[in-house]
Amino acid sequence: MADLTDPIASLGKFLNRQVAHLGAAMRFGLSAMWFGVRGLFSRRIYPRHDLIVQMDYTGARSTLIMVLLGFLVGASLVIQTTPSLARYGPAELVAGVVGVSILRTLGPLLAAIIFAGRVGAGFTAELGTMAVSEEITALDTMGINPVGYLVAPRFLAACIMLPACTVMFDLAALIGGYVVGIYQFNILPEDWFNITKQFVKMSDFTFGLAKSVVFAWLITLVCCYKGYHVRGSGIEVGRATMQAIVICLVLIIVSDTVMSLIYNFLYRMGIVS
Amino acid sequence: MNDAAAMGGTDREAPGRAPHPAISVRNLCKAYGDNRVLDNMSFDLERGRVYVVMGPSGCGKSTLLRHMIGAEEPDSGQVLIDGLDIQSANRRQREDAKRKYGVLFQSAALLNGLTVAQNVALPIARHTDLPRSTIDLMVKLKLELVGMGGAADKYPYEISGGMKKRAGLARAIALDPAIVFYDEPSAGLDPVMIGVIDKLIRDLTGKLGITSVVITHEMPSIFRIADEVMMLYGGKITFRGTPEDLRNSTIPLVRQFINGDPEGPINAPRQLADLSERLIGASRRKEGAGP
Repeated sequence: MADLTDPIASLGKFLNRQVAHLGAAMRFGLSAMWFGVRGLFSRRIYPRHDLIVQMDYTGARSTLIMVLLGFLVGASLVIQTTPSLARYGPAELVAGVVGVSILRTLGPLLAAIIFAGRVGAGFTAELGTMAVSEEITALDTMGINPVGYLVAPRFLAACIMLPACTVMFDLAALIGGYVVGIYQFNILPEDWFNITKQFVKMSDFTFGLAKSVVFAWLITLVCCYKGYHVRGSGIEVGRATMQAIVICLVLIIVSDTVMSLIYNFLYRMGIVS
Repeated sequence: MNDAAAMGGTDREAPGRAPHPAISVRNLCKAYGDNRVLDNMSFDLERGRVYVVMGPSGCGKSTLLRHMIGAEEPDSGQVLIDGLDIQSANRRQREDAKRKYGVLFQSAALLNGLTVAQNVALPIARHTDLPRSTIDLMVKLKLELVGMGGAADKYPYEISGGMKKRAGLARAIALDPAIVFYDEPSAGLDPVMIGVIDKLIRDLTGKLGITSVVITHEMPSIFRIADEVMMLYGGKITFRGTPEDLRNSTIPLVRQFINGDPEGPINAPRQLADLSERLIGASRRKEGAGP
């Protein structure tokens, strides 16, 4: 009998732990957001300078990689899609396909994945190192809330800068697609713009931007939570960073699917255009 | 052995004295799984004295410290700082309590992104409304006190371990706390630097009346700085008394610890001794089997 109940008990314990983690992570995220907003009005939560530093690190320093990869993704999309489209109709339609797919899905998704790898991994490693070297405990014993001091500026900066990075990525991808379409496949610029105008709606852009805010929240929550709770030695920092990135990638793609389903449902109901 | 004192017998109130001991630990229990690290521990620490908590590795010294500074929650029991139970206190009371003590961590735990001066200024800026110029002056004074005036603008990764410890101490005393906790202050330092840190601990207690709680197993330091020594073993206080009592103690645990004897009731060295015997035995067998 014990053989039968042991796996069930283990499963129960595992689920219990995961639910407790989820609850703790949600409290952590809400608390970071609360301190982030309060910090804008009170200099006692975190130094304003820290917010600027984090915005520079998460956003300004991500510009080059976002623009470069965005350009290449847009170009690659056109190179691979145009010959197939040309077989069934006018190749100019690629302008609309690229516009919609970049703004609605590929832009926010790929920008978030790049952001998780560059910025999220940095958050986990930084906070994890601070945790194992007792810097977080030191802040707490000084009566300084470590979530407010360390996590809040990172949270706020990421929630502002990932949408900004997504816009940069989108623009670079559209330009990349345009350049290849015009110079490689001899599509006329007027045709490109006309098709783009017909296919792409403002809601494609705003939906993508809204998704990037959700992705920013998820990435920062997972990466800061994993880093903040590292215990033990430096080796745990590497392990936590790897786990954080894997969880981020899964959550980004799952949440993208869920948001797309919700959007589709709202579209069919006529609530969004 | 002074067991009665160890179990809270030093809590005396006299006219003109503060109403509470600086720190009271009441029936503190903590276990990690089946390992009972703190087993119903109780004691009081009076103001203006240097207390040393010693014991073999893994005996619960650091766990006790983490409970006293409010970094860990006990399974049961209380830690009272100046009469206030820091676990059951509300947020504001806890913040006030945290201003009453400073902590020097084993690794100094300076924030690496800030200079030494910025590290020391951090608690002052956070807890007071003093103008920048006054904070700078206070920081300068604290750094001078620990002999670190020349390293104010250096980052923690630019200074030595001993300097980090002294900078950490300057930060711990930045708000003139009544209590300072030291977690292994001499770990990783050379004997001269250990002497410097020991002198600082004694000076701070002598000149500023600070209550010092020092976690260490550095025997020369213990005899230099302690007013009273507590030895932890098996989750309990097995000895409490003056350094003189410690030196004259006949308790086998204490004798083994202060003599650094591998044989005795403390079992961790026994395992190491077994290992060393096995290694020597293997080495001899190998020599015997040689050409």
